[in-house]
Amino acid sequence: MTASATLLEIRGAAKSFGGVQALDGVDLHLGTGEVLGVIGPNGSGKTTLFNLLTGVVRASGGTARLAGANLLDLKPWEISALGVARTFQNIRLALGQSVLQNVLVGAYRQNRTSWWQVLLAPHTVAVRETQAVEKAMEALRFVAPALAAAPDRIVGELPYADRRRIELARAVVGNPRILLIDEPAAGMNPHETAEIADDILRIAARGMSILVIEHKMKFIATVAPRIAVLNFGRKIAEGSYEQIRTDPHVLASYLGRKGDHLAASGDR
Amino acid sequence: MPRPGFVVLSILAGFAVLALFLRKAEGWILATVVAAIVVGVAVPASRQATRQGLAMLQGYPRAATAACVIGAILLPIFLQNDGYWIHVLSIAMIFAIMAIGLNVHLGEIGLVNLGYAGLFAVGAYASTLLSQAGAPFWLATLFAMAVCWTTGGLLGVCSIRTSGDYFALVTLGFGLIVQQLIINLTWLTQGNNGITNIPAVTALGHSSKMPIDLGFIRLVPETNFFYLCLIALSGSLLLARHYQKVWIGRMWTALRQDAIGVSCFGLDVPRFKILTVAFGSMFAGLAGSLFAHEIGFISPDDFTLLHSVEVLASVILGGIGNLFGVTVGAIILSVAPEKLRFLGDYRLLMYGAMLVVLLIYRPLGLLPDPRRRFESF
Amino acid sequence: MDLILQHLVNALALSAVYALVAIGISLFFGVIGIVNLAHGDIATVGVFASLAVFQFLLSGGAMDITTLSAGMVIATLAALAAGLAVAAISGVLFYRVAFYPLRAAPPIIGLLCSVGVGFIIRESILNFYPNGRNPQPFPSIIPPELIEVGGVIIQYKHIFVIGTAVVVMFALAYCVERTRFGRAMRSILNNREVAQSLGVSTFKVTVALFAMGSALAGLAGLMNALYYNLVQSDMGTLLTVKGFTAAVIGGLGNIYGALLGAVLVGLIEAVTAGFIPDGSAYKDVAVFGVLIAILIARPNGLMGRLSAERV
Repeated sequence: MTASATLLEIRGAAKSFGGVQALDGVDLHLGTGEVLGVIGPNGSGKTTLFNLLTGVVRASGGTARLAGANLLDLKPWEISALGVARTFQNIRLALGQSVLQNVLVGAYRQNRTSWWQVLLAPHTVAVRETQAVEKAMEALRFVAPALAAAPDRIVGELPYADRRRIELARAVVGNPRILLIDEPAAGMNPHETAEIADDILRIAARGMSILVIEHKMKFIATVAPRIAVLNFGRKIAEGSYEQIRTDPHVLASYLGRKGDHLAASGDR
Repeated sequence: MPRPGFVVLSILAGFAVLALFLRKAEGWILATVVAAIVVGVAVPASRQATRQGLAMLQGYPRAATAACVIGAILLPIFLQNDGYWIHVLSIAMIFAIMAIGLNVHLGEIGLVNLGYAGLFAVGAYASTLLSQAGAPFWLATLFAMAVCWTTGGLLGVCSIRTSGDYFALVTLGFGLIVQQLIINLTWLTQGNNGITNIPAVTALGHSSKMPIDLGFIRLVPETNFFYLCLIALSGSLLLARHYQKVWIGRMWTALRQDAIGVSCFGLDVPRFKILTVAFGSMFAGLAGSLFAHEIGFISPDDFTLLHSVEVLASVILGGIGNLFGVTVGAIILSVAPEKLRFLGDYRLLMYGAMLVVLLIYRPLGLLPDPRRRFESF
Repeated sequence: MDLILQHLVNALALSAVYALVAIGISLFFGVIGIVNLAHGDIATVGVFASLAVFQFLLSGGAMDITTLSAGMVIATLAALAAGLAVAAISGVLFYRVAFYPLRAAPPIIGLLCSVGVGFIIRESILNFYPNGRNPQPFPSIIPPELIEVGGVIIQYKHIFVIGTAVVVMFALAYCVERTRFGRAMRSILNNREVAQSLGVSTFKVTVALFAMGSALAGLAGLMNALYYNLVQSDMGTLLTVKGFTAAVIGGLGNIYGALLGAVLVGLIEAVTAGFIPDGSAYKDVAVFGVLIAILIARPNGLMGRLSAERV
């Protein structure tokens, strides 16, 4: 595998919540077009890491360099402008709205206008809206072709797996440089899990750099050629699936017992 | 009879019946009618019929809207030129405009504003002062809207970092402060005595104090403001609806689902909230200006906590988030006291009880917003 | 200097009342996460209950109780006890009827519901209490005498109000820090789910906390009534607003913060009324100005919150 340029460099990312050290100095790097998996038990700091990277939570220390800027210093909307998009662990879509309306939220930066323009320049607003709809439909067709056929369906009536896809589509509409995916396979059966893994691989094949958090080992193994393992806010191992699978630190922390195969922990 | 025609006629008939109802139904007869409606809604069979009827009306939105507009225009005639009721409905429409504004705060971004009457007061006094200085009505109104927009923006600053609870407190205080300032800054506001002799609205030689002479009928002077308020209400509905339909409405919805996460899509949330609060406050300026000129007299008693809660109750009763719903809610709550006078002193007690019952059993209101099917408020 | 001290004394009396209200409000918010805007009205219920007892026991006699007789003392104690009890019971009742059904709903609904509850209380008193429409005199139990300490006039009223508040504060602090109930309370304030899993009977403690907070409100109302010798059905609104301001300044959910906030509010009011010409008309404006400034600078209040961050 050719070495790709480092796009995102995280050094010493740390966060403490009043005495609880959620993240204790984590170093990671993500290359352009690379997929990096992040796994670890509950409470190991995975989602906190994402929250730091997207500016939702203010870091206690460390840096995360992207295109010369330190993400940990920026506000969420500034980070979004740099081309960072994310999905969320709990899906918070507008259930009463259509698929298209939800995906269009991801096109915000492209299709926003000023409040005045809404009133005084309806034509401009309409044009931007049309462009945004095109982009949204394209994203939908790419991520979830089945949904793209009926973009006006109400999200609340769709199954959970479809909602995940809508969320993914919403994240890629803006053509981000980096995509942070938070537990995409949560709450899914093995069949759906495999499908989501395929969706992500397709997105990766387009050249997008992806950081994905997941619990399920098989899923991560399928999707990420390189995996980092977190526990108690620290990175305890990094490497390919084979490498971390047999890493003693990982075995000890993840399962509590040495010598167990990680494959046995399987997809729960 | 083709369906759209049926819809139009039934709506027009509804307006005529409403006019009759307002003028004729008295005291206990009225209460019986209301009770009948309530029972009719509660009984499953009639509820089903109502739902089907409503569905049909919703099936032809253009016809329904046109019918509502025509019905409203004809209302003074249906009311047989009764100046009193025309005036009552004008005030009801003014409250509806406020409900639309408050719906932006409460319905679109979930902020409880307990001091909307304070904004109303600011609008009324700002417009009055300019009007008395000689400015034409439209200018005074625009000024009032601008002042309210700015004041709202300042209030919005208090909403950005803190939770919605604090906004409730701040607006509660704001309403009380505005009242105190009005009472104490007598050099500006005449204090408790209020400002009288607010000039009538004139346009093209016609003054709002003159009757409207259409040849075959001579409408009482109150009708002037009726139509002015009708235009203002229609404008407000259109404006609010327009903003709901574009990206702003979409981001309002996204913000409601996930106030923190939505910022990851590039939305500068604090700025957006401030602009939203300002936008919603603007309607109070319009309402205030209309109110001051309609009645011709304003005083601190018109802008109390009670009025804030009335507007709030309208929004909740009518259906939070549903523009048509909150309009209906405001009109009901404005008109009801006139009719249920025998309740008199117990009116406010009923408000409180109604609010509590609604919130526990039907928080989405009489006409729930279809977009909120999956939300609990 | 004397003038400053004089205003300080006035301020402390005000602060004492606000502190009791603010602590109750902070407790409510900390425990059930709902902003209860009817808090001051619960105080009013207690006060009117007291008034009713007084009016009943003293019917026919004079309202001025300056002659200290056994009968008077018993009457007073009975009235005060009634006030506190009724306030506590009302608080629990309203919790059960209006807030408990909404425990799973977004907190905004609870807040709006409390507005409705406030109206119900106020209007009920207004309509159903004899002569409820007009302000009613409250017996002046505390003798109007005063003492003079180096140029500063301190009325017995001041001493009573401040003294009571201090005593209650210490009792509360002891309860929170030392007793088992206090520990249970703190664990719920910090994290309700954890408390439940640890076996703390959250419903019972919640009810007890509600009763306590309401009784505190009732006490505040009573002191207010004793201080001004006047009660009216809408006296609760201003108490709620001021109490809330104090609680928010200190940080909602933080009991010590509520105390700090109350002192601050009392000071601002007294200073504005005393030193600024025409100040008494603007004292509320001043208080709110400070509230808004603090909220902008420190959104979680001056002392943050007892519990961990809540969205």
